[in-house]
Amino acid sequence: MNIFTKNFKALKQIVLYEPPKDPPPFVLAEAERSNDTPAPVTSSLAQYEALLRYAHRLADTIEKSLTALKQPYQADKIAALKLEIAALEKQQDKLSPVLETYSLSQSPANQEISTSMEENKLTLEKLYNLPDNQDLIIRRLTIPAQPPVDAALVFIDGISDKNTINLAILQPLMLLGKRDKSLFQKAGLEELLAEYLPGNQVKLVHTFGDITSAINMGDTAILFDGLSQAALIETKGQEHRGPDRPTLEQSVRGSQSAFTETLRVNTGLVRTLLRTSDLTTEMLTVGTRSNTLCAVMYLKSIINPELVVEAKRRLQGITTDAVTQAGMLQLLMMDQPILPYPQALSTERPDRVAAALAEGRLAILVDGSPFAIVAPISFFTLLHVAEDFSLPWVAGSFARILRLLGTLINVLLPAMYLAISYFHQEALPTDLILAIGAAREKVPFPAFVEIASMEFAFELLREGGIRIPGLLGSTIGIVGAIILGQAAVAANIVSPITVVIIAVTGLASFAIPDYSLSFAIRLTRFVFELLAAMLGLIGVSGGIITIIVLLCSMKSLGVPYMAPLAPKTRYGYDAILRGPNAAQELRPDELSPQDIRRQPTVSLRWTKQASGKKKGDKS
Amino acid sequence: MKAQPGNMGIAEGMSLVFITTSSTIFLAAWSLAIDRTTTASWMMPLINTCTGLLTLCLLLYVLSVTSTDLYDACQLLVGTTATRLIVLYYIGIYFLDATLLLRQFAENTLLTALPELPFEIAIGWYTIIAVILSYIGIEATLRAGYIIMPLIILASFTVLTMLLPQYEILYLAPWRGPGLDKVLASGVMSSGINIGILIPAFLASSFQNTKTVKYSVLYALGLSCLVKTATLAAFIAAFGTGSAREKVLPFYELSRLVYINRYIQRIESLVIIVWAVAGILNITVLVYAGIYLLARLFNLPTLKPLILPVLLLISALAMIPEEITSVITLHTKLHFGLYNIGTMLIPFALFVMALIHAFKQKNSKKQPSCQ
Repeated sequence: MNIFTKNFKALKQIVLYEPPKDPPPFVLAEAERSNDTPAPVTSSLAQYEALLRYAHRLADTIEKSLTALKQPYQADKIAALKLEIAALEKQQDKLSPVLETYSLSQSPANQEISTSMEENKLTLEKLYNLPDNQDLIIRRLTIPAQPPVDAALVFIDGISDKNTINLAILQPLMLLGKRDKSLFQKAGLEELLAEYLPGNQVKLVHTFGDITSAINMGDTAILFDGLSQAALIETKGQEHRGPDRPTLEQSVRGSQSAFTETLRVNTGLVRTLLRTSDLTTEMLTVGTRSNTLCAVMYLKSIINPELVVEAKRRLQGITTDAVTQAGMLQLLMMDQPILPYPQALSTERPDRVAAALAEGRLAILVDGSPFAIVAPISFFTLLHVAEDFSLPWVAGSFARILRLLGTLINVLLPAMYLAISYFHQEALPTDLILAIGAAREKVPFPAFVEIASMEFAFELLREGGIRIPGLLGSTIGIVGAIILGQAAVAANIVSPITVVIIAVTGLASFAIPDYSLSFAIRLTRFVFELLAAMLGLIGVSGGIITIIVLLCSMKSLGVPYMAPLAPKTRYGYDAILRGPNAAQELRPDELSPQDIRRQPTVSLRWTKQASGKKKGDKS
Repeated sequence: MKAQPGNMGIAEGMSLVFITTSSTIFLAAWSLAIDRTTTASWMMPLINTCTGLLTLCLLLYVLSVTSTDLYDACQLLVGTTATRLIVLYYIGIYFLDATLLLRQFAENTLLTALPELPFEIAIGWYTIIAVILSYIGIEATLRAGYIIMPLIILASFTVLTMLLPQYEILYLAPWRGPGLDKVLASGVMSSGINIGILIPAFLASSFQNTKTVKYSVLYALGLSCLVKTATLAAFIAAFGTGSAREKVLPFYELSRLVYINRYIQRIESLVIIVWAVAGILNITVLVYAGIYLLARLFNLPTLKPLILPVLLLISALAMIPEEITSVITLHTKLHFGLYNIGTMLIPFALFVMALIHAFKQKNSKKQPSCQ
């Protein structure tokens, strides 16, 4: 190809442009939503298909019967045929047009188990989207009973324990050959479960809803051809990590174990700290698609029963697709979800949950989440930490006051700085105001822009620090803060006093033990900064009173959020300050527990008893 | 009635009475009182607290005889028409007081904190906060008031303590005043300042029982009296009557006088938060009480829709006076005049009617029926 031809072709391509012949890129089409009911044709088609399958099964049975009749008399074969015919009769009853139409109009999950193994298999295929879905395993086997019975084991790969399935289900069922009894006789199935299946939890169910909810949890279902019941055997065995050290709520003197993602491990961890028959664990399911298991734990003789009823009412009243985390559930159960302040305590520590239960609160644990929700709580509960009671009461109280001051500094310091530097300079000593003035002289921005930009940078660092994996996150946070601060001061973008204020505020925010509260306080701080920049201390005053009234109006599971301060309730030396452990005589009054007394007035009885030495002993 | 607030206890009642009776220490009312009774002015809060306690006794008797709140008690004792007139009077004075307070606190804001702010914006700001608090509800507002109350007392006494070196105790000697008779008369006439003590009686059904009303008013009046007397005494002792009668804002002027060292001086900016919060709470409580009575009077199912229009009207009214001195003068005249009908005359009249009612009931029980 010479240069002339090349140029001609290039020119031709430009003039006579044709789009490339690649396949068009994928664009998700907008779904056409219509409220029409499913076409009746589909349901009648399914009905005809079911009838056809029944006809095939009937034809097979007739053929088998003919063959058996032509042959010499065999009692076992005749017995098996009798049972098959009985099962066919049962199936026919369900195939009446009215019942079939009703059954088809229902979700497959609500359908009853059929006597036909084929029908059951088809229902399972429909429910679990087989064969596309590779998670569900259907293992066919023949139980060598008299007569032999076709059965199918159904379980989900990955969340069931294969060893248990092999040793506690398949092996005993296959050894059933020695058994001469029929499974179809009265109580035959119950006997099979009682004598041959060594699983620790075994039960019989009648609907696919029961089967799906059990196998979704990791259990195994056994379906029997000719029987309209299924056996469920507990074979849960998904992989999970064991209890680890707490990562967010570390403590120096407290327990060093934290919740995991497995619900039963978590309930067990709480029970190891409260070994009493009084500790009740109620199981509920939340999420129409996720079917997340939740455990509501409480001490029955202490908690106000109305709290349990209300918590269960709220849990059962949640209609949502999926609840995958405890935090989601917490938000769905809150009294005032519009406000950012946490209305329940989220903790990863079993000892905190145990302490809360002993006070008359309740805990909700969610399967798959290493956090427990504790409710009801007060604002002051969020400023407590696990080891408060491991320290002498003076030290514990000091730490609590420090946290409260940290919270106040976090909310008010930048706002006060803005208000004073804009409107009330006379509040500062002359030397200080001159120093601040000199530091701000070279900065071209107003104080509000300085504060806002530093806040923004700090928030970015904080968010980035959380997202960056491992130790690198905190390192980048510290290095970033130092470099950014120094560079911003050197570039005259912000004054050193702004860096100091933002640094102190940031430090104070880390004194708040609860992550959600810390977030809410930060949001409040931004509002206060805006108010201070607009109206000085008058704006701040308006903000303060509004936020206090809002907090006073809030409830946590129906209990006032600012109790025992507002409304004033009996003070148990465990709100802002902490009394000595021996003086913690009463449970929180605002919870109205059944038993208000935690310990007798003289709980240290050894102080009133004589020591081992007898009077007069000289040695 | 759906608008009925929830269960309130002594703490909420204390906060209600304390906020409505003590926030005058942040206003000019006491400067004008010094003008009347000079060095003995510090006695006036003591005297009007005594009349307040007398009013409380009368009201408690009325409530115990009728076993209901003050509104229903009025209906039982004086009939529907008179009740409507009485309630209209109280609605009027609560709204009027809220209007005058709104204007004075807005003006104080301009005087002490934000001199360049248009006063309409200051009024607007207080109105917005009052609307928000009223919407949240009286229960939460009073609970917040109970949290704020110790801070107000603490801040007041901190300022007064810091001024210890500035006091001239002889300024307080009553014999340098106009005479005890005048002080007593002025003290009794200033009872209108305590108009807020009737609000718990109107909201009695929201309190746990009459005992709650009794103790909340009793404790709050005591605390309020202590704060007012101490502040007024400190004001006179620090400035002397000649200078004090010229100062518009007693508490603000006292905090301006603080000088401990170079770093603790002129703390007036920091106490802005205290008086601004007290002012907002006082306006909110008065407006809420007025709206509550309005809803009762017209038998309305709820009071929330009234909050915004009423507060807008109040803020518009507060903007009408051209200058602040007329507002301060009017407020003082009302304290010494019109408000006394509400704090003394009406409770006394109701007490008399309750006595007659009780007497009639006693007689009817004694006399067996003719049949």
